[in-house]
Amino acid sequence: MTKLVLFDMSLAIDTYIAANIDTVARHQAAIRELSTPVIRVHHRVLLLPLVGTVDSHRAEQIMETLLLRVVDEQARAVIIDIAGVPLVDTMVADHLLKTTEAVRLLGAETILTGISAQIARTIVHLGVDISAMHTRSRLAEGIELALGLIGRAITSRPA
Amino acid sequence: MTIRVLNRDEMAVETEHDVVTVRRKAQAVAHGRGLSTFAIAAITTAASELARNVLAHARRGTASVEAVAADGRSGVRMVFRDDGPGIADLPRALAGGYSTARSLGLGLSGSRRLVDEFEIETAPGKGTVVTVIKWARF
Amino acid sequence: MSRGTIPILRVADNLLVTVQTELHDQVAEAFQEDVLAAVEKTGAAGLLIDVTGLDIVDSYVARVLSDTAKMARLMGTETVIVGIRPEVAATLVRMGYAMPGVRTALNVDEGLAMLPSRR
Repeated sequence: MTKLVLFDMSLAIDTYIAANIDTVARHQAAIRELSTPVIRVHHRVLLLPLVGTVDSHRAEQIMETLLLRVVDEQARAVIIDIAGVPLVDTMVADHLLKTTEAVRLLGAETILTGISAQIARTIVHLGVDISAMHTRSRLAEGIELALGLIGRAITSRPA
Repeated sequence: MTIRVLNRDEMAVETEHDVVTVRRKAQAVAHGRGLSTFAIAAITTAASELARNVLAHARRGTASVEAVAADGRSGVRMVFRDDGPGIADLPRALAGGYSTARSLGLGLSGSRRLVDEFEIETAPGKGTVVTVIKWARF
Repeated sequence: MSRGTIPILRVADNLLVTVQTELHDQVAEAFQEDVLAAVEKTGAAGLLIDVTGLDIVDSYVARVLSDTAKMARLMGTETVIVGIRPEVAATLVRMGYAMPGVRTALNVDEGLAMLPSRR
């Protein structure tokens, strides 16, 4: 009898939890969208401005969101701007590298921009091999490079 | 953390075809537990790697695929069991050092990186038991 | 040209292989043999392997694909793998196998544009 009651109780708890999971899931989805804002800069060029701390969980979300968008938009180039990331350690660098590799498997290229002197020093001291990545210090240069990949260029209008 | 088992399927791993059966089972259970497309691919691939490992190193064994729940989370647990020679150099196997004709030596190290929880019990001559769990994320 | 499981089409100077069924071991071996036989017979400039239909690529299948590309290259044929799904790419990278040296494209059109022409 006690067992039966306990069983009912656990069912009730599961139902209660399931109802809350829905709400939590919606909030989490909203947070994910906000924390991984993938912007379409140009036809087939995407930009992901990263702001704030990147932990392991967020890094995985970033990779997944980006990969889905690359296929949806058939993007040739993805610019990841890390100017707003306060700390780039081995873990963050490694995740960026993995994201680059995964984007390459889809058939697109990643350009890393927003690399400050501080981040450049950290990356070299950590011994991270980023030779497989296109890198630029400024976002504007990254956009020019991305446009070049799709056969476009920014030019001055004749006066 | 108490893990409740909601459903359990045990299968023999003796042929290449069994690897496909285990993989499909893992995929179906993961789908039923509400895992994301990425998590389903991860656990299904891990199932393939681990079942193939059983064949490659012990020739036969068993795989169980379970639908599990804990703390309001839902997930998939898989246990791969064999009575093969066991693993003498576990750290090396986990680092991806062993490679056979049929694999890149990524069986254990690769599947470990694909799951949320990974446990291995092995000793030379005592067989190997690998237990993995993948949880649904929100 | 093939044993029926995987169609191999000729598009101008190139071969287009569409993998639709799950590549379990025997199929994977037959796939490699069939593709290389077709490369040998046609002397194609390029080989396009479309894997859009694969929802799972484990390390064994990844190795068969990348080995096939290497073998075709030895025979003078460039390979491009197209249509790797997001979840497959993420899984391969997480396992630590990003198929180094294999060329990739988003879709068949882009893959074809990357291949040389013999004319």
